Amino acid sequence: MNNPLLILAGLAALMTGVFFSAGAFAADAAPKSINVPAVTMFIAFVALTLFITYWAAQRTRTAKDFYAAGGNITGFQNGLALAGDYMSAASFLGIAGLVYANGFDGLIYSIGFLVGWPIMLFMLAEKLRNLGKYTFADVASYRLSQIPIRTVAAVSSLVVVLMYLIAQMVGAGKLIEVLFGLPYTYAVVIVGVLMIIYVTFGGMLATTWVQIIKAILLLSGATFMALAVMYSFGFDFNAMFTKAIEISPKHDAIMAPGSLIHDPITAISLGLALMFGVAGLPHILMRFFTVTNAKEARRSVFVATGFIGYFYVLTFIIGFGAIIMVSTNPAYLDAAHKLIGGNNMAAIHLSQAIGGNLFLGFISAVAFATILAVVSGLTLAGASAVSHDLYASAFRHGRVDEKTEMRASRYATIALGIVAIFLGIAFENQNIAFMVGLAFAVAASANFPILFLAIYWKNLTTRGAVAGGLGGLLTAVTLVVLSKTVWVDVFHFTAPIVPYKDPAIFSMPVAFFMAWFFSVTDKSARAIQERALFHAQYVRSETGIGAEEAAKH
Amino acid sequence: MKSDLAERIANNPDFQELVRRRTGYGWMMAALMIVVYFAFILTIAYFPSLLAIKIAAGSPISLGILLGFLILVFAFVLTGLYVHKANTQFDELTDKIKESAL
Repeated sequence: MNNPLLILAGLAALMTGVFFSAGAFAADAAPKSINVPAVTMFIAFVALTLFITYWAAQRTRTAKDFYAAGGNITGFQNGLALAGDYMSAASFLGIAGLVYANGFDGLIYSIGFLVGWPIMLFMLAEKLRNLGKYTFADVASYRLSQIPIRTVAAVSSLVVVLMYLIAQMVGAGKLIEVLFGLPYTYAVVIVGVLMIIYVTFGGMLATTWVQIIKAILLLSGATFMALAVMYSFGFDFNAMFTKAIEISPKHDAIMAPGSLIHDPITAISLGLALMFGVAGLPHILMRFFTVTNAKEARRSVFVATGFIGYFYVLTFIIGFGAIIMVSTNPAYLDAAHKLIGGNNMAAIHLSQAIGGNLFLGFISAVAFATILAVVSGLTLAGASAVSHDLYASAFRHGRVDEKTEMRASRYATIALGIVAIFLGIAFENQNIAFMVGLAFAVAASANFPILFLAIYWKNLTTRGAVAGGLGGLLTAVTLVVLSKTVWVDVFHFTAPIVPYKDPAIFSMPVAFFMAWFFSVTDKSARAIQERALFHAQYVRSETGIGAEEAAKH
Repeated sequence: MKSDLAERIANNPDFQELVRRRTGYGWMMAALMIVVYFAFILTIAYFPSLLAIKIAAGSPISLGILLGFLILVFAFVLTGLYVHKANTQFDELTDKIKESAL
């Protein structure tokens, strides 16, 4: 990879966690024969999760049950579920594949994905729990005008959720095509229908437990693989690295920064999007309302950070293991000596090298389960934005009973699921590498600034929050559309209009500036009242007094 | 929350101490994470060869890999320290504030 444009394009995909660009699995993705152990284990997983959904459905009676699992999830359980949301198939297969191809550079992405979590803990976690109810828009609109704030928050949440969903659906279709020998369209429909069932019937409770089970399966499978690799080197890292350096075509270069990051603007921009994007992802933020109190909220971030960090260490070892055990084995290579199915298949091939077809089946089933769990969380977050923020609060001005709101959220889930299936099919052969990048950039540039300022800055007014949120959202989307990842790779123009493919370094300051400017110049009576309301919000955000009673309703 | 209750809590010296200590601690930890992460990213962008240096003669492990792992551990340790301090000190103050307020 010597062409800087190629490298930048690759970076867009890698940094953002979507490794399933249209081409990633395309080369050798011709459906192969059905993998019986994989299908059997996957069916067992689906049976178990459907049973959990049935169990959860019995316990999902109120809106609080549906959106927040009744608020009864413990910090440890929520930590596992948060980690599960974050350990998508993309980060498992994608980062392992990246380490396989580039060594050290894979670690750069792992670190980027992890460092947002401590920031989330220090700045937002407890205050979110103290102020919120079901969605992060509850917090953003706590003392501001409901309709405009919730509308903006719901729109940017839906942009984030849809980008993420498309990426996962297309990734699922491609992956399942390779792993199970199932046609792309079937795979997308199966994923879509199952996620609709989990969310519609089981709400947050089912979504959380599906996520927890998947997190345990994924962590166990990855641990076993990493241990098997380390075992073959007598648990000696020096021996493992020495062997990998000897085998890899890049030799010693895999131990040092490669060509993936070389210009500072890209480095900072991606760093910003990852670090602050986590604190703006609606499906992650929503989980903070499922725990009892602020104490459990912060414990859950600690648990999540631990599991995610541990998982990235595992993927690093798995990537190196694949260099040693997979890259020289002709059984895993095609005629051009490339990995069958692309570099993202490194971990999958390694599972076969370690444990034969049975373990390959297990890891394949886990990868499918992972996608299923992640899309369920995304769908629930998107449906909540529609039913709780748009329908119940903005459209019906909060004058809607709980039953009607729950019915609305179920319809929203079904609609979103159908939209996701259609988009998944429509985008099959599109280059979707930019989508999770855009999702993180929008999360960092629209959701995070509104949320952060609403909690911390007394002078924020509705006008400022709307301007900042829309400014961040539109800047991020426009810059991405004009950059190489969309302008050239999707629209096939010869040259990009914007040279940088990650917008956060521009769109985050735009959001903060507009929120500041349109707040300080806001002299309306409403603005004066909103500033006066900050005091009570501040006391509640710091102490949680009032949060317990509010949560009971 | 009623504004007179909020007023009473805000004037409680325990509340002021809680906010001062927790805010200071939280921002310090956030700043540490941000500085460490961006220092790492900018080193990759500007001085990649620095990270290629081996940690010991004859060792295959580079400084970049060692530092990378240390940052993963650092992130986890920071969250652990914060949670520990919050559980032991901040919660105690919060409970005191709640008791006197309600």
